[in-house]
Amino acid sequence: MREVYVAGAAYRTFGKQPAKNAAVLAQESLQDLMMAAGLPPGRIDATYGGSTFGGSLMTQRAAQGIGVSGPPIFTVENACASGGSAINLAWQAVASGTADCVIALGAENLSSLGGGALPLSAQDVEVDSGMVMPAAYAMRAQRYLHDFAAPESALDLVSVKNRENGSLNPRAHFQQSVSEAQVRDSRAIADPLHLMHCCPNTDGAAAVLLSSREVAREVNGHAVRVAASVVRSGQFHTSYRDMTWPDITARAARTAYAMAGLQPSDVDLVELHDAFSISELLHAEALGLVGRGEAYQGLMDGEFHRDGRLPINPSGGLLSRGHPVGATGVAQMCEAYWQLTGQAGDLQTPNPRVALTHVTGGGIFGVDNGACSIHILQTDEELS
Amino acid sequence: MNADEPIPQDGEASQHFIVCSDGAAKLKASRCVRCAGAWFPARSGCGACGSTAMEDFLAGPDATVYASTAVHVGARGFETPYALSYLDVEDLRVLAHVRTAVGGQPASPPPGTAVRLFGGSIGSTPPQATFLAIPVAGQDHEPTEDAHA
Repeated sequence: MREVYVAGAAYRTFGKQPAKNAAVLAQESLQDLMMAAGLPPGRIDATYGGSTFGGSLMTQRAAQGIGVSGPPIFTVENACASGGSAINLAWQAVASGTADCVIALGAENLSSLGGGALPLSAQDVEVDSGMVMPAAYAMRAQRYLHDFAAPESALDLVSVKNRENGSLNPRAHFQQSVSEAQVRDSRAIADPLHLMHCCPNTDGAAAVLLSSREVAREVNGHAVRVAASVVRSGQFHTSYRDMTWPDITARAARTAYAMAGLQPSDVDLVELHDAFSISELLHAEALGLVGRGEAYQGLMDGEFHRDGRLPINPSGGLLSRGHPVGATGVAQMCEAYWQLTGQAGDLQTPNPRVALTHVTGGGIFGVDNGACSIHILQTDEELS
Repeated sequence: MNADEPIPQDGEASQHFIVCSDGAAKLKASRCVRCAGAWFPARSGCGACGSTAMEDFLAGPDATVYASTAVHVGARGFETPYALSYLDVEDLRVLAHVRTAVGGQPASPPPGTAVRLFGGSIGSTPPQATFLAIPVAGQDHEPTEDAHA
C-alpha cells in the first residue's frame, strides 16, 4: 500500500448555528480547505463525508458547492466515529492507489434536534428503557471511581483542564475556562455527572485533504504522514463486561500502534474522545497512555496538561470544542495536523512529531461502543 | 419492553420476562448450545458464534448491581429523575430501572448492592410494563416505599 498524507485541513468555529444545515456547514469547510490547498476541484478523486443526522446525500450537497460533482461521493454513518470512519475510507482509497487526492469531511447540525441528550437508535432494548449516553457514561464513572478509589474531583479536573485549553482555541464552542466549583455546582445530568462533565450539542463541520506523497508535494503548505488508520466495531455480547475498560478502543489502539510501528510512549499529543469527563480517563488508559486505574492520578498530577508529559486534548477536546457528532473525528485530525506542522497558534505544543486521534461512540446495547476510529499522524522531514 | 403490554400478573409472561406468584420477575434469556454464550433478550441465533442452536432459560430474580446512576436529564418520554442500574443476573449483564431513594429522590445504589427483580411499570409516555430492580432489605440503599407499586 502507498503512504498517505494529510495535505490540508479546515474547520470554522463550532457552536450553535441553527440556520445552517449540515451540508451548508460542510461546504464552508470545503471552501476553506480548497483555498488553502490551492487545488482546482477537478483534482478531487473522491469525497467521503461523515454524518449521523445530516440526511441522505449530505456529502453530495456539500461537494456540489465547491464544484466537486461526478467523482465518487459517499456519506458515512458510524455514530460518533462517523468522521473518523470517513477518514479511514479516504485513507483506504489513497493507500490502495485507486485515488490520489481525496477529501474526508464531517458535518452535523444538532440544533435541529432540540436540546438535551441526543436521541439514540430505536428498537434497542436499553434505549427503550430510557438509556441515554450521559447515563451510560455516568455508570462507567460510578464504577471507575469505585474500582480505583478515585475521587469525584478527578472528573471535575478533566473539565477544568479541557475548558482551559479551549479558552485558547478560536474554533471552540466554549472559549471560557471554568473552575472546579463551577463544574461541581453545574446542573445534575446523571449522577455523578453534571452539565460541565458533558460535551455540548454543537453544530459544525470540518474537512481534511488526504493525498499521495506526490500530490502532497504540489499542495500549498505542509503535509504529515498517516502512520495508522483504523476502524473497529464493538464486540457484541450480553454477559459480564468490565465497563471501565473500553475494549473497542483498546483493540483499535493495538492495531494502530502495530500499523505505525510505534509505542504509546512515542506519542507526543492526543486528541481523544472526551464526550464526558470520565471518557478521557477511560480512553487514556485503553489507549495505553497511562496504566490501568492510573489516569485520574496522572490527570491530577498535571501529566495531561498542555505543558505536561503528554498533552491530551490540547484543543479543548469535545468538552470545549463541542461535539458535532460526525465532524468531531475530522476536527481532531485538523488540530493534530496543525500541531504537527507548527500552525496551532496559541494551542501549539513544543515540537510534536507524533499525534494520535481517537473517536468512539454509538449507544446500542451489547457493545461498549458501536464504532471506534483511531489515527496516528507523524511528521515528515521533507513535507512537514 | 412492549409499550402496549399490560403488567404481567401472577404466572403471566411478557415478551422479555415472566412474573412469579410472589411478584418476582425472571428474565427470558437464551444460551448458545455451541459456545454457551448467554443472551438477553433471548435470541434465535448466537451473536457470538452464529449458531442457531439456542436453549431458552430463565434468569433471576436475584441480581447484583454492577453500576448505577440517577438520571436527571433523560430520554424523551421518560419522567425524570429515574434510576438505572446495570445488573449482573447469573451470566447476564442487564439494564434495569432500580427503585431506591435517599431523601425522597431516586439514588444510585453502589456496585455490589443485592437486588431482586419484580414486575412493574416505569414512568414513560406511554407507560411501559417492565421488570424493576429493588434492593434487598438491610443494605444502605433501601427500597422506596412505593417500590412495589
